[in-house]
Amino acid sequence: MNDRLRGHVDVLLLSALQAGPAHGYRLAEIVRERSGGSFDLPEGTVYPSLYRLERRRFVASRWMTVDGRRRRVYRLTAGGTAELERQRSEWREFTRAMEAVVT
Amino acid sequence: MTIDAYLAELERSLPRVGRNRALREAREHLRDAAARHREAGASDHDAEAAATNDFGPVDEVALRLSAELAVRQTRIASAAAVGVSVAAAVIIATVVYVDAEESRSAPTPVLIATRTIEAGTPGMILAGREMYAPTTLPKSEVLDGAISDPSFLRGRTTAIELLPGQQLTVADFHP
Repeated sequence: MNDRLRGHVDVLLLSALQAGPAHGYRLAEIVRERSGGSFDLPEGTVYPSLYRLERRRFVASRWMTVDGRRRRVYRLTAGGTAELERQRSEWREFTRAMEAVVT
Repeated sequence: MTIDAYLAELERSLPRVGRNRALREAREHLRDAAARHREAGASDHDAEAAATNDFGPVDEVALRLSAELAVRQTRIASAAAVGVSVAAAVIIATVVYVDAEESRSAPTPVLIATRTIEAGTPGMILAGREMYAPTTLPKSEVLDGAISDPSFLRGRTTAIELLPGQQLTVADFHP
């Protein structure tokens, strides 16, 4: 399961950020919790994805003090929201086509 | 592995630009993860070992981080060169010398095939089945049109068969 996820970490993080700004550790938690533990990626893989999403202007980040510690907090941009909707649409079409063939 | 040992090894593998931020975020993440394991009853040693294990193999994390940080380093160098050119045009005429040898060996991110990829394979399948992996190569070894951003593959299909170790280039995909 986790091997198949590696190509979809970006959309998982964009989805997690829809709930509100969060730092990397919290985002990894959100993905794990929402999937009921099925999606348990190496936690370090969220940061290359976050940097790529930030480079593409889909997320923005800044240092903030959270629980007394300096943390890099990420938020979804308008471009990121649009990209998330585009990927969701693409995923729905992909799963529809797969189900039509394999079931 | 302790958090300090993990971060020391990670630091050795990362490019200079963006490294401090990446290490700082990793440290805070690992501290949170270790705290979670301690709350579950683990000793300090076991909590740090579990946290670094959950974070992922340091060489794999370093490889993925390096690919992203290398893109940022290349862009900053390009932006600096443009800035210098603009300033020179406004004030005086200057000449910018580039160290050709250093430029040729600069680490450059690319995607390489990890297995044989048949012609007509959709980009989404490539991502879902991990049929490629990011890496960095000396600039002199990077092919024209080499792809570094996996998002390029979305909505595209391979035009030819690709072999393991082959760099993915724009020419290998249908537009």
